[in-house]
Amino acid sequence: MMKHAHIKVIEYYLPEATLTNQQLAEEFPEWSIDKIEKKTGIFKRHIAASGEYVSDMTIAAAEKLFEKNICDKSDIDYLLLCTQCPDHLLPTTACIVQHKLNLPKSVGALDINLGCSGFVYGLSLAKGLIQSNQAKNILLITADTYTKFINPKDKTVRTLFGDGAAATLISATDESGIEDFVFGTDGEGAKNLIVPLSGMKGRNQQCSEVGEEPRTLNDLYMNGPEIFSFTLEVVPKTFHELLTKANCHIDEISCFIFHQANEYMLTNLRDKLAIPEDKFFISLKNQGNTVSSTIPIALNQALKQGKIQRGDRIMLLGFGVGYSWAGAMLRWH
Amino acid sequence: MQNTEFWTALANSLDVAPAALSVESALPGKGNWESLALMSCMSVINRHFNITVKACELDACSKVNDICLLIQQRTASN
Repeated sequence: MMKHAHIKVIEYYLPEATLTNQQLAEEFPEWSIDKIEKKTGIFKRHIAASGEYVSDMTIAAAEKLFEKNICDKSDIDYLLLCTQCPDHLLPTTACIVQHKLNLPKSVGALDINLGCSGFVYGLSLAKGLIQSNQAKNILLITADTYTKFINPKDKTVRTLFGDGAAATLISATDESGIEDFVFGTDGEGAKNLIVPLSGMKGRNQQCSEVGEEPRTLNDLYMNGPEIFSFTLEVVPKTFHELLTKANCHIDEISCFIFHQANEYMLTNLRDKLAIPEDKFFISLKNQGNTVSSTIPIALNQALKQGKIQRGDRIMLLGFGVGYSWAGAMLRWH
Repeated sequence: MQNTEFWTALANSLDVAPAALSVESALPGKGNWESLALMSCMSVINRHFNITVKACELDACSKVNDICLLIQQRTASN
């Protein structure tokens, strides 16, 4: 029995339409293109079309993965879909995707509601399914359309978030690939990144304006400075816990891929943790913060750029909405 | 607060010349901080004293001296 799990292939999809810094600067003349770039490290974000939803983006990403001919659809025995923007509250979007992708009816399929930590949690679940002999080939999809939650007048969040989806194939193997994990949760931070009326709570609420703020209770609210404070506290602890758990020294890691929130936050964390610049992969410029897809998109780009070689150890760290966080160590095959 | 390096970094985060910064210097005030300045200030404190202050704590500071007191309280309790 093959008792290990590894990532076999990653593909991703970004919607066609984009929002550039120039467009933002024209809309908000008090901000310059330079200021937006300096603040975020982002040049453009991709925006899902009005009729384009998570199931559509999921299918687009997955079809790109299957075009690689590394795995046939009939080989998939489990589908994990991580999203906070499901097509519907019910039914489960993973079920819709199973049908539209023409995956076997024998697959297990479920949605995971997590944001920036979601890819790492998805890897952990996939590893568990493989190690317990419940599945051999798992399709892990991360997909979000946060831009549909953003008030057009809210320039702060509009500069950061973009839409996108990533498809990752995790398969059983003889060699160790997905290794150690650490996890964390602190729901006290729930209020700092939230769409207040996105679920059942307050569903029948009539007035949804929020004082003078450029949003309603149906829109995304982000308290950026509080989230920054959370990352300063949690990420270094998680980083050191993971190194200890993996019995690994920082020098043994070839590539660090953290959730791509914004460049200011990432460079601060990199400096604080004394991670060499050439090993700390940043990939925000052309797609912004795509929530649960930032890590797999960055992994794909790091592979394409030759930053990761066979046998390399890689650290992944996701953190954000919830608050929720998780770190994983990979050995690349 | 005799740490010159910290003082310079704090001045930079507040976008003022280090020589112009004193404990009596006024801060933007509650709800008036620019988010990048707030994050920059938190980062400077974290780097120099290895403590994490919350955005709401900094937001409540009206003078630079309040930041110094916040740091002293926090480092004393650690």
